[in-house]
Amino acid sequence: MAESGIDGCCQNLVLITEMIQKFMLNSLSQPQPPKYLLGEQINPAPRMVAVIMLLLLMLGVSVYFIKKFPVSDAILPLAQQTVTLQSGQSVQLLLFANSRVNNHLLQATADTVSAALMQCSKSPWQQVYLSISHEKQILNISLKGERNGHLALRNIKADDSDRQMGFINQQWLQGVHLCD
Amino acid sequence: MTKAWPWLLLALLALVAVVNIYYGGQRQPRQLLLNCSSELYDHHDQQQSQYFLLLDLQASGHDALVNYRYFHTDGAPAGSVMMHGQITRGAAGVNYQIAISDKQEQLGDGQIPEHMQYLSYISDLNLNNHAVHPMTLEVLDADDKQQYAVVRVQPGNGVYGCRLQQ
Repeated sequence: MAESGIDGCCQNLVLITEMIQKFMLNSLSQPQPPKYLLGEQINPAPRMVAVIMLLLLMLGVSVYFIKKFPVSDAILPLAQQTVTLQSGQSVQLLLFANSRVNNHLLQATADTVSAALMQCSKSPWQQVYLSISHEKQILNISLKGERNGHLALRNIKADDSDRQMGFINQQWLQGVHLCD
Repeated sequence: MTKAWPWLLLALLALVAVVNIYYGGQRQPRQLLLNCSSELYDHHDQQQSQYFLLLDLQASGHDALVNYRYFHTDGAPAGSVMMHGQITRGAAGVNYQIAISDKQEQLGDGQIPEHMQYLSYISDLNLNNHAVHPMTLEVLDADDKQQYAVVRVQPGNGVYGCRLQQ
């Protein structure tokens, strides 16, 4: 068994070596290049035009797809945090601002709102969107959730032209029934 | 090799055509109707006054109507700002640009809500100086089936949870 195995392998080796030798002899005795290479040497212009056309076409198709499917311009929140209510239910708090800097007021307000939410034993709200209108200092609270299997939405806009959100505290948020 | 050329070209053209047919229609501004109701609380000298704001956006084709209506808690009108303009959809289809070209304002009974004062001021400023008041509607979250959209309106950076009808 073992001997015939070695024999088989060696026979194969011999065959391959013979083939290589034949191939080398052939290529040495016939050093002419294949016909298609010859054709290219005679007239390379049409092929060049075709290649350039293909490249241009590929470029065009790429530009077309980039225009067609641009990178999403979805608005990302400045920050987001999850508040867990007493019932164990979690509420997502999403903060939206115009710029990435100078958002202390928004952050402080978010902390007040999340503290107020934590006081809720339960709440229909799953997402809370927060933003502050810069010029006029209007606090926007948009609440989205589910009540009795139906979608529930609520928008609260609070303006304070005298003080910067001075009125926003636990008491006020309870007064507007934030939990409901 | 040479025979594959027309086929390659044809396949590419077919691909572009299919993509165009499938996604071409999506870029067109569709019928759009947003209804956003909001509670407004104004604070002045330790006093709080409450209003309701109904914001409606109606778009059909390129025409858009943005209507802000303010009410007192007893239902009496507290003022309104109605604006007309042209709506275009952003490249990725998420946001809308509305170029407001004219507006009509009506005053209601009693005090004007702060929100309306600001809206009136900023749109006056833009319409008088540039003849156009640019608005942007950024969709933060939306679901056609549940018929809602949470949007951010610029200028003002205000968020609204709205009923959506398309």
